[in-house]
Amino acid sequence: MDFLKEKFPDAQFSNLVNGDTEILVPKDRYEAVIRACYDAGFKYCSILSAIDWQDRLTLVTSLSRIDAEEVGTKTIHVKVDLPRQGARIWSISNMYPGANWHERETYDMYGIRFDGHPNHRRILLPDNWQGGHPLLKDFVDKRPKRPRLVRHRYAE
Amino acid sequence: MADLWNSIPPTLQVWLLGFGKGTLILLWGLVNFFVALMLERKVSAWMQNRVGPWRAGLHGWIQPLADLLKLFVKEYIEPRNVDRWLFILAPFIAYLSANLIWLIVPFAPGAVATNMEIGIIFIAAITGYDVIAIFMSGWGSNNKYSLLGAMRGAAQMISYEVTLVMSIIGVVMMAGSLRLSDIVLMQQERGFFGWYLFPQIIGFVVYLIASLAELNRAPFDLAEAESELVSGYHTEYSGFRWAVFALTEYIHLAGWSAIAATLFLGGWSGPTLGQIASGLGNIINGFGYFTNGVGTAIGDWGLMMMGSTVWNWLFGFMWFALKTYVFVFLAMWIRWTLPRVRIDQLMDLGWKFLLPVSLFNIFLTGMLRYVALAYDGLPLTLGSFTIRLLGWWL
Amino acid sequence: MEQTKELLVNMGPQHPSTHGVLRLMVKLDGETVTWCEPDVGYLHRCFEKLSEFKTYPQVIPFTDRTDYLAALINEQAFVEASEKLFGEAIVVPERAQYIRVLVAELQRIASHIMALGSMALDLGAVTPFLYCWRDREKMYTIFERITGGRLLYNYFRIGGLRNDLPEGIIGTPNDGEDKADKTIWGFINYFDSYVWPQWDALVTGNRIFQWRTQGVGVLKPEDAVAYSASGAVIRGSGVKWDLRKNLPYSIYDRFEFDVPVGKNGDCFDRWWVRQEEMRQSSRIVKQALAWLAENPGEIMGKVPRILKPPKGEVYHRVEGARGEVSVYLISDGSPNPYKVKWRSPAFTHLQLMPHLTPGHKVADVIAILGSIDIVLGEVDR
Repeated sequence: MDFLKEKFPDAQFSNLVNGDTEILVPKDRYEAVIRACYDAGFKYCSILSAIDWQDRLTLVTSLSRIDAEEVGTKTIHVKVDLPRQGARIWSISNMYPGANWHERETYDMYGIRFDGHPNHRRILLPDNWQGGHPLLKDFVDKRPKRPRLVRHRYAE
Repeated sequence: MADLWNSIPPTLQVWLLGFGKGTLILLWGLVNFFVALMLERKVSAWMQNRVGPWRAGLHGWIQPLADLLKLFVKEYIEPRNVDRWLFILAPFIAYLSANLIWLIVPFAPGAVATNMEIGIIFIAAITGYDVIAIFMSGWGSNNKYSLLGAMRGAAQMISYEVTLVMSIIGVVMMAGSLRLSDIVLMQQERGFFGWYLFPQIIGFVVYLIASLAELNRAPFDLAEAESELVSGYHTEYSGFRWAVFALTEYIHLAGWSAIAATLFLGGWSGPTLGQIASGLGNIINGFGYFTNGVGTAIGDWGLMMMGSTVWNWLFGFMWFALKTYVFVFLAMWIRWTLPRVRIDQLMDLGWKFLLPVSLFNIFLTGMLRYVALAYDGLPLTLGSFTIRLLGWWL
Repeated sequence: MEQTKELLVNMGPQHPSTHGVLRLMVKLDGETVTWCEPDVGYLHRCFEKLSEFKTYPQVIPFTDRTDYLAALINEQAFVEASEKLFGEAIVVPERAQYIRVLVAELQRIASHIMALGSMALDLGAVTPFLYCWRDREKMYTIFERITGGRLLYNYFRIGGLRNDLPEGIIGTPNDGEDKADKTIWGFINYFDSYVWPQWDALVTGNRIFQWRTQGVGVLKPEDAVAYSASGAVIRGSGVKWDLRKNLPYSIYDRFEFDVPVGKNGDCFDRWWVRQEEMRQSSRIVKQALAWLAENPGEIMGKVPRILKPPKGEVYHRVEGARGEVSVYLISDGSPNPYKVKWRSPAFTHLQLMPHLTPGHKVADVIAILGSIDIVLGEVDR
């Protein structure tokens, strides 16, 4: 995507297997990149998720352009590296309402907090869940183990 | 027998009669419940490529008994914080109001529990009971779905009551009486084409729609709309109390159908056994062109049977039941075909369309009757013939 | 002081028309909805976490269970994403591609039948729902013959398919109504000639149905894009966006079909778009059948015994029955996926509820919920 290369020459670009553009930006440029994409017509946020690389988290925001005539449409994946503990980042859900629940899910599963999110709660797990963020690679289920079912032995 | 009857004091006679009639009416209500419920299941199954109940009895025909028995022995679940008396009483008030309709319905010549002069007004009055019952159950259940259902039910039934009564006024104007048995007798005199169904077709259609709304049946079953309000006003009921609501629904359905049959389809009027037999004899005799033994015998037997009170009763009752169940079937047909309307659309339909239409029907009926009476004495031309035809019709 | 209060109603988790275990918190002012928020997660089965501990072929049955009404399309999404990871190493035979498209489109029809039926049920019409079941049963009998399963198939394999179409399942273009549950041609003919008139007469042309759906839950095109809507929801709003056309995956660029779009973006348009999509799917099925009848061949490409894709990331988007199903798949070179992110359309669409419902009546909430057609297995994953 040329407009991004012009605006953010210092960002790292790479290509996914299927030819989508991937741009790795530092955390403080995230908002600017997203706004640039939005202005370039990428108004459709198809997914927002995170990857746990064990030493860092990577937030992936996939944006695409809705154009009825375009065949072979491409997606921009905006990636941001974040620390594994106490990650915070600007929320895009006011610009892309469709990312609202995806951000909530990312918080739920990876513990990334989104500043300015209108309804920042857990979504799939219960609100009072204390067990941590399950999609982190070092997640351990700390709930008490359920007693194993033992076959009843009849008195002889 | 008569001596024995005359020997008891008149007060007791009244009480005994009332008790007997009441018992019969309650029994008739149960019979209606049985038949209508089974019919509903079978009709819906037929429409939906199913077989319906099949195991209990022949082709599942004693399923309602099994259901009632099961519901009878079921636990009464009474949620905490219900308004106890409202909660308990509501189904029985609904049941009562459903059965009250049968008090004034003429089943057969002379067979009517109370031959009330103000039959139509009585109908208008008892429809109010059902609203009370629904609201009691909805309020007393202390459940939000029930409350919403009760609110809807009350709004809907009160608004459609007006339309319902207005649609009947045309019939009353034509018959000149509020007494249901008089209305039937008038229709019997006028014969098949004189049934109020034909001249009062507007009133009839309005009555059909309004009575469906009054009955809380689909497409107007907003009070219990199961896809929105779980089960509406009777969400919290279980066991026999719920069964009473189910009883009420079907008795009500049959009751309103009976009123429709009485007002528009001539009630019990129809050929009796004697008339059928003498007619048959007439046909066999070739309308008098030739006679033969069989035809004469059948015709004579028919003439003899014409005076038989019991057979006239039985046939009157048969026609009455048939006509009633035509409407019951119609209601089921509509229920299993149409989606449900929304509450504001229901209200719009009631107040903005059906009520003006029924008022227009009253106006039309009155005007045509006036014209027909005014031109009664004119010599026979095409115009006056038309008007007299109208006059006969109305 | 007396004043009116808003009533907070919890629709669900136990409610007849929430299509599973969904809780809709609704605030009512009388009958009018002022606020609505869905609460999901009751069916969460840790699909994404579980996938990280399974090999690639072992994940395929899980994808069935996300959107269980269109299981084959989910399998297609995952399988094709995995094949992309392998790059040139795995070549899927052409016949397998055609069969994939064929069953995916049949699945789309089955799913839309269910969607339309349950929406009719939500609006209070019970009989159309049972008609839908009748037709879907016929379809599932066909699926059972092809794949061995009725609801959850596990039919696609990385590199091809588990088995070829069974003998005689294709039938001939003259197969009539009596073969509707025996051959695919029979079903398609039955569907085209028998189901449509019935549907149009019973539901689509029904005045009450139109009252209930037209002008209800209007989603403007720009909102549809902003809320990441896809599938019938975005097309109902008039945006011509179909990944089969705009991002042709598999072999969809070889088929002729149109993309129906609605005008107003209300519930009726979404319904109508689904209906038209079924016709288009039946067109695709016919083309695929014509090709398949003449071209026998392999259905499984050359695949290593142990599937270890090279390191890489892939993002694959597929037009599911409900909208865009996309998979973000990361491989670290081991037999297990490093990460699977499953973008499910129903999850994204459910966000529309707070946007669409305020100002409507309670009954409309159900209609809107029915028209965006959610499957809770997919929402909660």
